[in-house]
Amino acid sequence: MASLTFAAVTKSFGPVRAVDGLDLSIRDGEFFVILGPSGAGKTTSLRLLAGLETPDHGKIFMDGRDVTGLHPAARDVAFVFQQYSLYPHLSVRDNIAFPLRAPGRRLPETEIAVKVAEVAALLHIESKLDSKATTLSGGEMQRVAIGRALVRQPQLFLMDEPLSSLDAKLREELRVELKRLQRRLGTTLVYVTHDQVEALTLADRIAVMEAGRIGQIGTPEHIYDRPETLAVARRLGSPPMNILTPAVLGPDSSHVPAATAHVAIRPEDVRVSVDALTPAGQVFRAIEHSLVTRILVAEQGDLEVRALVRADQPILPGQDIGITFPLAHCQFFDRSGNRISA
Amino acid sequence: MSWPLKPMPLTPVPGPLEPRPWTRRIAGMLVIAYALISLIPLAWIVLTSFRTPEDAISYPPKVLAEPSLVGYVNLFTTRTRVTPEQMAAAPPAQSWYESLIRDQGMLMAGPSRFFDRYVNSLIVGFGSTFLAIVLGTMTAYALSRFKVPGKNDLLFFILSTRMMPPIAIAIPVFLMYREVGLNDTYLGLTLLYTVVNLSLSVWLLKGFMDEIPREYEEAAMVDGYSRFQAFIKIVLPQAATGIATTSIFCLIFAWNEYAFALLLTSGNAQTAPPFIPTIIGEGGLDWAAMAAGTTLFLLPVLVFTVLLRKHLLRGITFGAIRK
Ligand SMILES: Nc1ncnc2c1ncn2[C@@H]1O[C@H](COP(=O)(O)OP(=O)(O)OP(=O)(O)O)[C@@H](O)[C@H]1O
Ligand SMILES: [Mg+2]
Repeated sequence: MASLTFAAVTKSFGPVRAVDGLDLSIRDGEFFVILGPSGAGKTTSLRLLAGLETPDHGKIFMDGRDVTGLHPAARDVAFVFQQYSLYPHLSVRDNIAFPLRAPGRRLPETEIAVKVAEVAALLHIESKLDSKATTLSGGEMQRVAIGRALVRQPQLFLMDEPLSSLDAKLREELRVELKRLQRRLGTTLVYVTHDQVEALTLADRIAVMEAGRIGQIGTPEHIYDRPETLAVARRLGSPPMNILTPAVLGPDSSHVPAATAHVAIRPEDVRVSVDALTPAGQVFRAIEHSLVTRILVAEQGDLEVRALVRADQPILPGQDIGITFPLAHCQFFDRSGNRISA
Repeated sequence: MSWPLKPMPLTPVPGPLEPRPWTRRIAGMLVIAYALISLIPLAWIVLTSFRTPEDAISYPPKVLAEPSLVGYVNLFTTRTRVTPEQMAAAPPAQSWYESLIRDQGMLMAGPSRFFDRYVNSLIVGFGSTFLAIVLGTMTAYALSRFKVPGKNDLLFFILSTRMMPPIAIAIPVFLMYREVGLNDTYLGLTLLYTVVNLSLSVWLLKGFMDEIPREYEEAAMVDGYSRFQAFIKIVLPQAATGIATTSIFCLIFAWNEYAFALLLTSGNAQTAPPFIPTIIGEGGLDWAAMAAGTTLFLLPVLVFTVLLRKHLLRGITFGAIRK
């Protein structure tokens, strides 16, 4: 169990600033998710925590202790790598037992057998324990990699997109299991993903990362409801937030704060009336509407809007519909994409 | 019942990526023909080693002759020719090989030096291979994983030691060895072969090391192992193919090397290659004994390669491993 601090950490690879002046505090026992697009520097941040990279500038603290130059083996962290890094010459059993046989730890073999069996049951890989690691499918490899981390009781778990190559059902199941486990153990867990659903369901707090910097840190609700920048707003929500111009608000546009360049509204907050003649509404033309996802896509000129519609009848493509954007649900951003606090 | 709709073909149909049967057959025949042609000289040597010295040089050559172990007996012994009276006076032969020697009208004088030379070859060959592999593996790992200043120049320099034929430096090496007392020692020859093989082993092994993803060692280090332990437990097993391949190349060179062995060794540390051609019978070379020496000389590399076969076959499919 450990709290973590990045203090102005920068790490460059040649001209690329993978992590750019990162300041971040993670509390003891927290389930902390780093969410960001590909190339944002998520993996690099984890590798810095594990000691596999040394920062160019800045310091990293664990429990207030400066660990910036500490060897990975001395940090007592467990890492699930993005590319499953099972040892191909070992069996699944020996892969999972590998950390328990490390020189500083070395448990008796009977105890190791018990722990390996526990973890294997948790991850549904009992039948694979004696297979060679190379004969597994991608999803099985990833589960073994998770198992290798869970088999220890480290100070800190680091997981780099651990569920990305699993099928939907298993991902769901393991997601719940991970959360339960982390609750029970109370171990700090830093979890990297580019899947916002994972981030929103798992996290105690989320850091949204973009181009080596943190866009916003907060609880899932906070980040979902009050994104600080347009980039964060776009990242969360499925379908993503509508980013519109003040003009679509019609008469209400006189109420928007000064300096507003963008108006953002969640699809679930958009009001749609199939009767196009509603006076307050803007007229949009439907493009597609799915009764399964209930998502309506409509356009007006080159403006595209997504709305969640609970209609029993599909709205036909080409049909004209009226759409209103309730002012109370709108969020306003200035020209550089920063939130205008209302 | 409409089952089966279609009869199953009795011969398996090849997949779109599999070679057609006739291509396979032609390829197979070509390989066999090539193997046979390559094996003829080898077969000739082995056959010759089991002939009597007279049959070995008979003209026209005999393909099939009475098998005989005289060649092997002559290889391992020294003999003196004696008059029939002396032969009659000698005590009866103690063993089958003494009888074989007496049948040639000679008495056994003692063991030859072949056995010592053979042991020398084993010591120097396997010793230098071991050194070249140990040093090469560690150098290759360092060059593959760490930031080494001037790495590319260093690698080129290592390679460049191989650009000149080694024998071009024979005289300087000879003089140097005489100065420092390495002439005719195991250490001298072993060091020389190690150095010559080192460039090969560093380059080959670096290629193999580069293929091993760093994540493996990184995972091991996070799991609580030092870099050296990770190297031993993770990197070495994964580099087994490369190490097996490289050590066979190194052994072949060190085992077969003739020129330096001839120049730098004589009484004490001489290896088999310079010794075999000096096996002299009466009135010319004893071809049967020489063929016997050659046959025995071929064995260690053969055995070594067969022992490492498993790893070599994996080497061929190395690129197919899922990462
Ligand atoms: N070892 C390296 N050498 C050179 N560039 C690197 C290295 N590691 C990372 N980078 C670069 O740093 C940036 C951040 O990489 P990082 O792997 O941290 O991204 P990520 O957020 O994990 O992305 P993904 O979701 O695709 O895994 C990228 O532009 C990447 O190309
Ligand atoms: Mg990554």
